[in-house]
Amino acid sequence: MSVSDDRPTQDMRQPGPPGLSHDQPAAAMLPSRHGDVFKYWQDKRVLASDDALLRCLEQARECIEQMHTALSCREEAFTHVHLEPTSQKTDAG
Amino acid sequence: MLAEKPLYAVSELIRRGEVSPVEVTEAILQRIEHANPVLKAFIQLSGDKALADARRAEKEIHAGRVRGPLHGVPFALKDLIDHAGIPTTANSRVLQDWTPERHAHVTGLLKEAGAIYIGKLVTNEFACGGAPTDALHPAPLNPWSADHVTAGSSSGSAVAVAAGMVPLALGTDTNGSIRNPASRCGVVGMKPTYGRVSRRGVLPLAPSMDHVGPMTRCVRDNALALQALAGFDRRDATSRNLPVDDYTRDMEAGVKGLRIGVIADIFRHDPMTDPQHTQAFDAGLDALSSGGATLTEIPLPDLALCNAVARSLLSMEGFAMHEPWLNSVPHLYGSGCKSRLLQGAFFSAADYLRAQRLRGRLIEQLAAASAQVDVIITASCYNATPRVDDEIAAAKRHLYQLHMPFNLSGQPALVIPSGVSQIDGLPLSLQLAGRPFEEALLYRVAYYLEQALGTASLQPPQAWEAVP
Repeated sequence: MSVSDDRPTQDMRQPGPPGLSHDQPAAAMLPSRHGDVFKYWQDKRVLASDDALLRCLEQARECIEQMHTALSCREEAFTHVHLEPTSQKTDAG
Repeated sequence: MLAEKPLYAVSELIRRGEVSPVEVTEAILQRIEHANPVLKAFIQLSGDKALADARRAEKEIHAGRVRGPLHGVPFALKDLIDHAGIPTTANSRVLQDWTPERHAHVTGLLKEAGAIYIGKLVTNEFACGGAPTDALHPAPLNPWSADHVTAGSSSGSAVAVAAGMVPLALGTDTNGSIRNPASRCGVVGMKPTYGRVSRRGVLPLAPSMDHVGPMTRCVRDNALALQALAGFDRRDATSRNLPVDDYTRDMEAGVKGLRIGVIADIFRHDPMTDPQHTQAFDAGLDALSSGGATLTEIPLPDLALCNAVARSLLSMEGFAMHEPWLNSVPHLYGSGCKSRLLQGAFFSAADYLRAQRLRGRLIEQLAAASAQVDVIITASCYNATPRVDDEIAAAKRHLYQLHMPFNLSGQPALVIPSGVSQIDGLPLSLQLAGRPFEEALLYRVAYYLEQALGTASLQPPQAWEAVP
């Protein structure tokens, strides 16, 4: 299977940290946490090429970004929900 | 031919003494000998043992000790499911030398029911990563057309059932892996409710979404198989101790008075939708309406988000399972499976919690949308079956199917053939989903549709003889 066609286009990319560009070496393109993970598996040469590993990262990021967007929208909505007490008042004493 | 008969028909012949389990097993082994060299569904065969088991079944039945409708009927297992003494490889070099000592719970149940084990069926490597190209075994061929995909990951199970190599095969379904190949190969595939069928002895992929279920040539066969598989297993922590319905009792009761929720907007407005699919789907809706069911359009939660959440969970849970092997023996994985699993390395614990929170909300939305209906009808795969050399379609295969919402929710979901495309001659399908633990109602609606649409005995043209 080829995953290359599933890569987000440049226009679809979320803005990344400064210097994030396809023109740079793969490991230099990544935010720190992803960069560390990338470097770990890159050093192990677990996939045939850095590009293949980069495609893994891009597919993961696509899902992560979708979830972030959905949750932030929902959390905003959640702040408008006013919870009502459901328990009956009781007379003390 | 005996090999092409549905399980229930073979079962009746056996019980009436018109055919023996040995004759049935011999017919199945002959069909496998003929078709498997081309279709490549079976990767392991237990022919001699199967014949010995069939002779034992024959003696028991002659002595009046009939165990049930599966007694003397052959079955096969996706190579993710354990059979004692036979390797479970998951189509991976990582596990090629591993042989379990015990049966999976489901294997034991089928054998207790008197079914005859035939062999193991090829899967996508560890049930993920697309059709295997460099795994232990190659992908099987679609018996309807060698040029078109079988889909996966229970591809061997779907191919074997469709081609008459076995009347019952078990598959597993984490992101649609029973329903997807069932749709592409024209067979019936059930993903039961999460917790209805034990997964003990089945290699996990993403345990919070993994399901085991039967794949058969018709709805009645599927119901008979699930009857043997469903039930509580105290050694599977996710197994639910709830009564099991009689899945065939009301099967012929029709659909009069049932409320059917229709999810169709998503594919009616997608330019990738195969018009043949929509035509067959609408024929199904007409049949339900004619039968006295009430149809109501209901919304589906954001499909793209459902898919993102389900794919994220699969990546994370799959990576958690495989991280030690990816570290120690990465060279033993095929490239597709390895790439898919490695995606999980880039998620954090916080991402996992976000995915589970979103999952809860999507489940709530789906429950709210379907609260006023008895059964949901929707598409299974709605694009035309891609060709095997279409890499773009392979990469985007998850976009044109509606399986993952029901892996997230755990509801039962059943795929049945809805016809054959007049354009490419390949099978079409539709999907029914129900409330948790209401598989019996799904079978009732599915049986009605199968009769109305005339899809109970779809047979692929035996073109595999001509495939080089």
